[in-house]
This record gives sequence, structure tokens and C-alpha cells, in this order.
Amino acid sequence: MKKKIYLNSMIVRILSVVSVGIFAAILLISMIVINISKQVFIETYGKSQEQVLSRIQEELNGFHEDLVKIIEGMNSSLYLKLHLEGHMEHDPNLSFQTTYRAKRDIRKVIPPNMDNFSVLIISTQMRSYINKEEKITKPIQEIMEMDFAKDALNNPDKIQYVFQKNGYTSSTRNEPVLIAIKALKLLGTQQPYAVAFFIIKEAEITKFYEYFTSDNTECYIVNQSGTIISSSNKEKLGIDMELQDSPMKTILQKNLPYYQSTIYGVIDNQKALDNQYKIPLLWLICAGIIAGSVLVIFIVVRQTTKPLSELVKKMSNARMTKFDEHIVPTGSKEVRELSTTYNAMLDDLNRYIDELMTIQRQKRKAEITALQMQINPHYIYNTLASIKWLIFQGNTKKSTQTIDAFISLLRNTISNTDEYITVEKDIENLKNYVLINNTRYGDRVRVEYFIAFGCNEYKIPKMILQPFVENAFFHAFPNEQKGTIEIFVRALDGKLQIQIEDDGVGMTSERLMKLTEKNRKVEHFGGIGINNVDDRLQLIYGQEYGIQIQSEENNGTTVTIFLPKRQ
Amino acid sequence: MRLKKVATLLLASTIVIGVTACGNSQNSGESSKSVAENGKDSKDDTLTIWAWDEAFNIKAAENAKEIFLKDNPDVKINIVTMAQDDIVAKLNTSLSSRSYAGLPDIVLIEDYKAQGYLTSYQDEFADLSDIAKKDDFASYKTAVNQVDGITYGVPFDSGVAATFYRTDLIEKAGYTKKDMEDITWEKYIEIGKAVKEKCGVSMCTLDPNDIGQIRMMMQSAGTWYTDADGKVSIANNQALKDAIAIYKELVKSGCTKQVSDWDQFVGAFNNGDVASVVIGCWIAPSIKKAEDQSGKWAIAPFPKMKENKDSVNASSIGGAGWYVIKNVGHEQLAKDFLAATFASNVDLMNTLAEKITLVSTLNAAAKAENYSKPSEFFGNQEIFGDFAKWTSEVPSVNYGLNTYAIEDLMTEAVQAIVGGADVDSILNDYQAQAEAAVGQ
Repeated sequence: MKKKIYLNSMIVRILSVVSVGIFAAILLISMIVINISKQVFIETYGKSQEQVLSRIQEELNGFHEDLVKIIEGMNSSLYLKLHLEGHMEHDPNLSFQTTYRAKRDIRKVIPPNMDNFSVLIISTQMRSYINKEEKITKPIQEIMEMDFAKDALNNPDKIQYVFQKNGYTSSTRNEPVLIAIKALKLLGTQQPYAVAFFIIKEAEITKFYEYFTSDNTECYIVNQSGTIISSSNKEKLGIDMELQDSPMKTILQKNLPYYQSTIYGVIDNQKALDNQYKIPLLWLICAGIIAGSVLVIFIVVRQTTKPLSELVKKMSNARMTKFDEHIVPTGSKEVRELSTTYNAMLDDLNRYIDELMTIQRQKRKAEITALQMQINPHYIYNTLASIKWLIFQGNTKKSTQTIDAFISLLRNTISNTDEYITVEKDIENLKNYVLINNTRYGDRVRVEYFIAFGCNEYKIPKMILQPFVENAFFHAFPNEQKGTIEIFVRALDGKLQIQIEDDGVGMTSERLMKLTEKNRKVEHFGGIGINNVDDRLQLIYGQEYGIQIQSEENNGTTVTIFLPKRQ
Repeated sequence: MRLKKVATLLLASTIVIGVTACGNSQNSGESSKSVAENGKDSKDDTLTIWAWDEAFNIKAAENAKEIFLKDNPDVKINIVTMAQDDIVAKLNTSLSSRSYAGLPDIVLIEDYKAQGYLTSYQDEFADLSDIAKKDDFASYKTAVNQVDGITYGVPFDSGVAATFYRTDLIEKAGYTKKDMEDITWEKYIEIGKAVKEKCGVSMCTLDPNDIGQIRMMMQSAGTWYTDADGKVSIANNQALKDAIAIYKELVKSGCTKQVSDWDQFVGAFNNGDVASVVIGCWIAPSIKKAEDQSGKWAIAPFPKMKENKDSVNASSIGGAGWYVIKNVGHEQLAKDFLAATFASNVDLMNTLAEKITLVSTLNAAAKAENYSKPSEFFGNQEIFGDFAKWTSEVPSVNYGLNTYAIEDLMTEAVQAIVGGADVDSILNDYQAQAEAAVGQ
């Protein structure tokens, strides 16, 4: 698990670093590109719009100049003056001619393509003329009373442009209009005789800059007093212009001196850019790139780290599996190299271990063999001395018995060079040893044997039980104490179990520990001490075999030996 | 496992970031879209109607709109008041260049001009044969709306001419209603002089630039600037000569008020400056605007020309029809509108009879209630009955394609003749000029 986390953190790190990197890169590049192009766009868009605005300015000026021409034409019409002053009223025939010619003159001076306004002329005698087939909806006296009409008469050379929320004719009375006002005076005279009102629907003015305006561009014409007199945004008509200079807006401006006004083009940069850049699409592309690259990186990293993680898993398991699992070399070159090397190393290691094991085993075997063949010379002397004593006592039967046992013991130990003997034989040896001991030290310790059926034929290492019986004999029953040692041999869980159980004093756990040390006071029978029986058994048979010692003070000791069932 | 989870998480988070980002910008996209759509709504789904004369045609269109909106509440209808000259100019400019931006879906066209438009721009007008059945309308109207047997217009108002006069002033001058019946122009001038003398007001207005009176006189004698085949017929046109003579007499009589524009024309009778108006019946709503004159007005038939044997006491002037311009974008809706209103709706005609004194050319309208009602303003006269009667007596003429082009020239000719030039030579001159102008 630990390894996995490590690996995980590796892939996570790579993934997160790369995706953050890509994201940052995309973001940065997009921002830089967008920013640069934004500026370029705003600049060029602004410039192009400025040119458009200049054209609008020219067109509006052109319109004004056309009006000037029309007014000049009207000023040169004597009939118009005569008609409007009503001089010919007395003579119907003359009046008829005058009226006809006056109207003809007006038709002549207004070009047929300039049909987007009505011309209303009101003379100082309050006679009116309107060039369109419509009615004048405001009494002409009232019109002439208005400041701008008076102003026109006072400044006969000036053309004023006035914004009115409603026009004065049937077709304009519900609409905002721009009225161009100019006094009419006959060419060569100074005294104005009438005022001409060119009533232009605001909507018609809008047409001059219609192509300039769009979702993101508004246009305003603002007069000297700051009132909006024409706009693409109809809600703002007639109210004061508020110009907020904000970075989000580009404001273009051109003077319209003829109109005593200024035309403003207000570009909403944000909207203009929104139209330019499909922001949702940009985001989608970004997200797509990131998702795609993260996926690819994930797969690649996963491919790369998979053999590595495999390798790590195998390596960490190596101790459990006794270094015998090889790794299949896959993945990148490095990992393959590593795997191969690891495999070679594993092979070497296994070989060394095997060699070492063999040497050890042989060494031990030789050692055991050597030990098994040994009998402590003192044991021999003392035993012989005991027999001599029996003979001296004249106990022939017992001495014969003892000598037989001793001979048998010597034969089985020294003469028989087999490493393993049957349970039956070993029990026989044990019996001989116990007999000799009983002869030498008295009968106070009794040994009983319980061999389960069928166990006699199993083979066990020679003299494996003797050290435990010897130990029980000399240590479990101090102070001439009487007692019993029971030996059980039986098959259990597929193993051969041999128990040596005494009902003696038992041991504290500290003593149990010390058991392994050699007890010099005791005169041992052979070279094998109980301290290294366990090691040896494990060396011969493996981990699951060996010795367990259970003991409690005053409650006896049980030694259990597990051996394989071998025949 | 963990590996995958982390990866999925990463993937998911990137996608979420992406999606949220999209979501945000989508919102702004939507809002801008909706703005665009709103803009589109006001522009695209609106039926635009152009007409002139706010006292008459515009009122009619507004009533029709009201009726149509009851059944079609989602439709937007924009009625634009324009001077007839402007309509003519704009239609000519746009149709000749085939640019439809700013053009209306439905336009009112005067009968004189209809044939000119239909022959020049036949493809631009929608075929209305299925909504305007020929037999449903007065026959003299449907002839004007047709080309090659296909109906392109829904006939609207009758242009039947009448003499609207002030009974109080006539009586003050010493004449009676009886004198106005089957009147001649000669008698008319005689009364006019008496009115001028006794009441100090003129008998009627005269616009030197508008010779509608001459046109009416001509038609009362069954002739026109063009003959039955559409050929210019000015020289040797006896009715024209007679009409010009009467016109000249009118000018010289001193009993007329000279006006130079529509405003003055309407102002003259509204202000009580004239005792009569000889014009199409569509002037009635304008006359009725002067409510203080209610009951003082009456109508009499159009005066005939005593010298001309063909002349009858009936004529026509103006009158118009509704036309659908095909390529503006709402052809079907426009047709539906006309079908539901002007082409069939007797209720509408009934309402309009009351509101604008419309003399409908829809035959079925004659049965409508208001068409048999006496008019209080006109001294309880049953004016619709009279209009209907005179309508049936109007001599039929071929208006040809270029009435106004010829009339432009004729205005000048009349001017010269009134100024004292020789009638025959002038007419011969203008015959040639007119032929050249209209390309015959």
C-alpha cells in the first residue's frame, strides 16, 4: 500500500504539474493573444469607425449644403415672395400665375431625391406654404412666435437646427423632428419676408449614420446645450448627453459646426469584442485541450509507471517469496534494464543462498554425526564404576542387566553410524540409558513410555530425546525427590509429536531462558546439549519443526518435539 | 484504483471548469442574442402599411388593424402616415432598384397610378386574385387593379365626385338646394359669384398646380388624357378643351380662393373660407373635422359641362386600392390581413362608413346598416345612397399608365391657356410633348 501511495503521488504530481502547466500556458497565451488583438482590434475598429464617422460628418455637411442651395434657390424666387406676401390677391389671374410659379420654383429648387423632409414656409404676413400634401398641425402664428423663428428673422443669414419632440405636420406630429430654420429674403434685399422650416424626421437623420450603428455602437448628435437631438438610441432623445469616459467604451467625436452640434460615436468595446471573439468557444477549446492532454498524459504516465509499480510490488514481496519470483521485463528501456538486472541479482542471490545452505547443512550434519558418535568418557568411567560396585555387592543379576544395557547403548551410539534410527530403537536406547541411571542414582525417578500405535517405525535423529530425559533426571527432581517422567510418541496433524513430561519442580521463565546455557555441573552422556537441539532440528527439517518447552514452577515441565513422519 | 480516482477527479475538474466557463459566457451570449431577437421582432415580424391622408386612409387602416389584432394578437402592425408624393417617390426608387429594405408590406396606391406600377413592376406585387374576387367589388374599380387578368389590389374607396356645399351660405346668396341638383358648371360659377358678393367668401378653392377639377370634368364626359387604347389624347379632345375653358372661367370669375398646398385647401373649407368643395367623396371626413359646421353641409352631384353633350352629373377622382409588395417578407401575413379586412369585412366597412364616411367599393357593404343612415353633419341627407347612385353613373375611362406624367405637362398648358394663349395650338404642342414624355 505504501508503495502504491508513492506511485500515486508520482502520477498525481506529474498529472497536476502538467495540467496546471498546460492550463496556465493556455490561459497565458490566450490572454496575451486576446489582449494584443483586443488592442489591435479596438485601435483598428476605432480607426475604421472614426473614418466612418468622418464620412457621416461629410454627408451631414453635404446635406446641410444641399439645404443651403435650396434656400438660395428659394431666395432667388420672386414669385415665392409675391405669393407669400399676398400682393396679387386683388387680381385672380395674376394671383393664379404667381401661385403656380411660386410652387414651380420651389419644386425646381428641391431635388426630387431630397424627399425626406417637409418644407414649411411661413411669411411675416402669416401666409404659409407646405410642399407636401399634408396639414400643418400647429397654428402658424404659434410657430412664428417661437424663439427660434424670431431668432431666424433677427439673424437672416444663420441656419439653425432645432430639435422638437413633435413636428408641425400631419406626418411628423407624432415623431421627434429636427427642424432647420432659415429666414428667406429675396436676393439683393436685406429684409427677410418669411421663415422656412425644413422639418426632418429624426428617423431620417438616423439614416445618415445608420450603417455606423450596431449592437455595440451607438451614435448621438448633441447640440450646443448638451441635448441629444438625434440618436440611434431613441430613449435618449431630447435628454442631456452624459458622457462617461470608461475603458469599456471608445468615444469618437466629430464636430458638426453647421449644425452647432457634435456627433459622438460610442463603441461598447466589450460588446464589440464579444462579437469578435466567441468566448464560449474559446473556453470550450481550452477545456478540450486540457482534458485531452490530461488524458494523454494520464495514459502515458500510467503506461510508464505500470511496470515500475509492478517491479516495486515484486521487490517488496521478494522476502516473502524467498527471492524466487522473477519480473517480466516490460515498459520503458530503463525499467526493463532494471528488471533484468534485478532478475540477475535475484538469481545470483538465490544461488549464493543455496550454496550457503548446502555448506551449512553439510557442516551441521558432520557436526551432529560427530557428536552422536561421542559418549562422554566420564560417563563411561562412572558407569563402569557403578557396575563394579554392583559386582562387588554381588548383585550379579543387576550388574549383568546394567552391562547389557551399557553394551547396547555403546553399540547403538558408537558402532551404529546411521544418522537416523527408528523410534523403537531410540526408545530402547533411552530405556538403556534410564536403566543405567537408575542403577547409578537409585530408582526414585521412574520413566514411562507411551508409544502410539504405528509410531515405532518412524525414523528420528539418533539420540534426540536423550538430552531432555537427562535434563529432567538431573534438574526436575532435586533433594532426592521422587517423580515420574512420561514419554509420549504420537502422530498429530501430519507430524510426529514426542512429549517428554515430568512432574518435577518446573522452572521459572528466567530459568527456562538459562536452559540453553551449558550446565557444567552435570555430567552429560553425549555431545548433544538441549540448547542446540532446536536449531539442529530446524536446520534438518525446516521452519515448522522444532521444540517447545512449557514449564511452571512446582508444576513440572513439558518438552514437545515436532518431527516429520518419516519411515 | 486510487490512481484512477485522482485522474478522474482531475479530468472532471477540468471539464467542470471548462463547462462553467462556457456556462458563463453562454449566458452573456444568450442575453445578447435575446437583444438581437428583440431588435429583430420590432423589425421583422411587423406588418408595415403605408398610406396618406390621416383623416381618411390612415383611420381606415387603423380600424382594420384593430379588427385583425382581435384574432391575431401576436401580430404587430405599423401604420405609417406619409405624403402620397413620398410614397410614390419611395416606391419608384426602391422597386426600380429592387431594394426592399424600408418598404412596406401593404401600400395604398391611387387608382390613377395603379396601372403604371403594375405594368412596370408586375413581379413585385402579390397576386391577390384569391382574396379579392372580382365580382365582390364595383367593376370600375377592379379594372384598375388588374393586369393580364390577375388581380393585384384590393379595391378600397370610391372616388366618386360630389359637390359638397354649405347650405347656409348658398341660401344666403339667394339660392336653394334645388339649384344645386343636376347643376352645371356655368350655374355653379353664377352661384359662386353671388356667394362671393353676398357672403364675402369664395365659392371654392383653386390650386394652380392641381388641375383635378379638369380631370373630373373630362371624366364626366367620358374622356381622359388618354383614349380607350391608352394613347395620349390631348389635342382635339373636346371635353378637355371644354374643361379648360370652364377652369379658365373659374379663375377669372374671382369667386375662387387660390391655394397652393393641401393644408390651405383643407383649411379653406374648415375655416369657412369657401362655400363648396367639388372633389371625391373621400374628402367628407376632412369636412367633418370642422364640427361647428355640422348640419350646414349638403352634397350635390358633380356639375356637368353644359357645352359638352357627353358630360353627365357624375365623375370620379382619386380612389385607391391596397397592394401587397411581395418581397418585403410578409406576403402571406399581408394577404391574410387584407383578406380579413378590406377584401371582405362588411363590419369594417360599416364602421368606416360612420367614422370616415367611407364609400366602400365592396358590393356587400351596401347592405351594411350605416350605409342607409342619414348623416347628421350633412343635414340628415342619406349621403351613401346618393354616392352609390352617382358611382353607378360615373363614365368609365382608361386612365392609362401615365396620368400624372401627362398632368404635370397639362398643368403648365393650363397655366399658359389661363394666361391667354391659344387653346388649340397649346394643346397641339403639349400633345407632342406628352407623347414624347410617355414614350409613345
